[in-house]
Amino acid sequence: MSMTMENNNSNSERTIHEQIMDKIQTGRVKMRPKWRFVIGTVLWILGLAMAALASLYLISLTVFVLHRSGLWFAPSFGPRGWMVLLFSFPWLILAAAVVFIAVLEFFVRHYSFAWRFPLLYSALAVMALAVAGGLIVAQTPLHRDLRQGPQFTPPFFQIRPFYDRLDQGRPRSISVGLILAVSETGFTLQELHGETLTVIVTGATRLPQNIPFKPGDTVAVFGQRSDDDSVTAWGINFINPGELLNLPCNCFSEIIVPAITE
Amino acid sequence: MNSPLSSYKDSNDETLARAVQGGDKTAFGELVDRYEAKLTRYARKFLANRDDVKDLVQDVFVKAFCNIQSFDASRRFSPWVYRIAHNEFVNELERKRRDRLTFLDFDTILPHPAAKETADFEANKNDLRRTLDTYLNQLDAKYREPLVLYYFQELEYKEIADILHIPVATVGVRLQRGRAMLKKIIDNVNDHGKQ
Repeated sequence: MSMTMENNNSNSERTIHEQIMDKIQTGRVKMRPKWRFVIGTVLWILGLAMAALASLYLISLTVFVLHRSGLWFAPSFGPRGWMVLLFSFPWLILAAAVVFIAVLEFFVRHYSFAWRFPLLYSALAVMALAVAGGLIVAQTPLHRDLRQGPQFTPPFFQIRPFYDRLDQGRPRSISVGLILAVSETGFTLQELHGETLTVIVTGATRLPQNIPFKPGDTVAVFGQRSDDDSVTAWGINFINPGELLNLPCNCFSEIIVPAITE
Repeated sequence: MNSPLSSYKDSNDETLARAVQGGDKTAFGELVDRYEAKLTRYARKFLANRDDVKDLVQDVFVKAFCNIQSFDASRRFSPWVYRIAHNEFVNELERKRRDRLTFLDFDTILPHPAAKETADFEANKNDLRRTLDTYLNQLDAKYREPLVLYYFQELEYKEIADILHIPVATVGVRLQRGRAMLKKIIDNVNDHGKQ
């Protein structure tokens, strides 16, 4: 007890300099090697890269799903189209993208080029870069290739079933496909997913482009399908591959047309 | 011929830090001498005159030595060691739960117009320092720290921003708000005195 008190007294009498140098010289305090910091930096950059890749993948997947389901064309039908878009939007994928963008911002905020600016600015910059990058990735055949790619056996990630499930979860009020034959009441549509539908066109059907249908046209049909595989369309939109997104590549023909002609 | 000790005196902090990185432990002693008083004053003001200030400052130097290989000698040593001190002191406040510093700081979210010191404030710096000394403990840690770094450590806005990892404009905002709070506290004290 008295020994401890003496030690404490002697410690408090010694200067910080003396105590520190004593710890260093006797080896009680050791310098961490440089490689530990290098590994830490590499891990941080890896985390940042993973979050960036996940954000790009999920944003481009959102665009891909919107195209394949025909939802991309819904806003051209005005408020009703916007409502369809709102209720059928792949919110879960977008929410996952937002989570990864937030993780990306967390990793980026570690660097002075980010924390020197208000959080709002760096978050907006990260979001803008992720969205722009996602749109660029959406132009590549990445998702088409992944969807059509080989089915790996477990324990590998089952990527094809994942895309199949996305197709199964498509909105039932939109049908994207190829016109096989035109009739007096409408036309026969071969859907992207292989099914054949009878589309009924009435006086109330909105046709933004006002072009007569002909076999071979690719269209997005908006309307609830009945049990007898017929759809009374409230809107039909021609899909012109060249106009899609105003992007330089022919995304639509790359993504959708091969699936129809398969 | 110059002795190592006299050459240490002539060297800047970054050169000494580079020497420590190369294995010269004695050079670290010189860095301790240079920063001991500054960090002790910083701890005493920020942590409100606690008894364990000496231990905390010692912990700061121990961490600085352990992590010296992570220091980029092409940059300034001062913000680096102050950043370690800031982390240590904030952790201490969190441990004691006397002052909680929130993870999400709304001051750093939105942009602020740059708030520079007015000539009036510069002229009254000494008066303000004396007043601060009396009422500092009554301010939130979030506002107390930039005030301590600016008025007692006499650091520039940019240096404070580098230590706290916040935008320079936010430093100005916190200083302004800190002074406004201080004025409020003094007004309250004066009102009570009159009653």
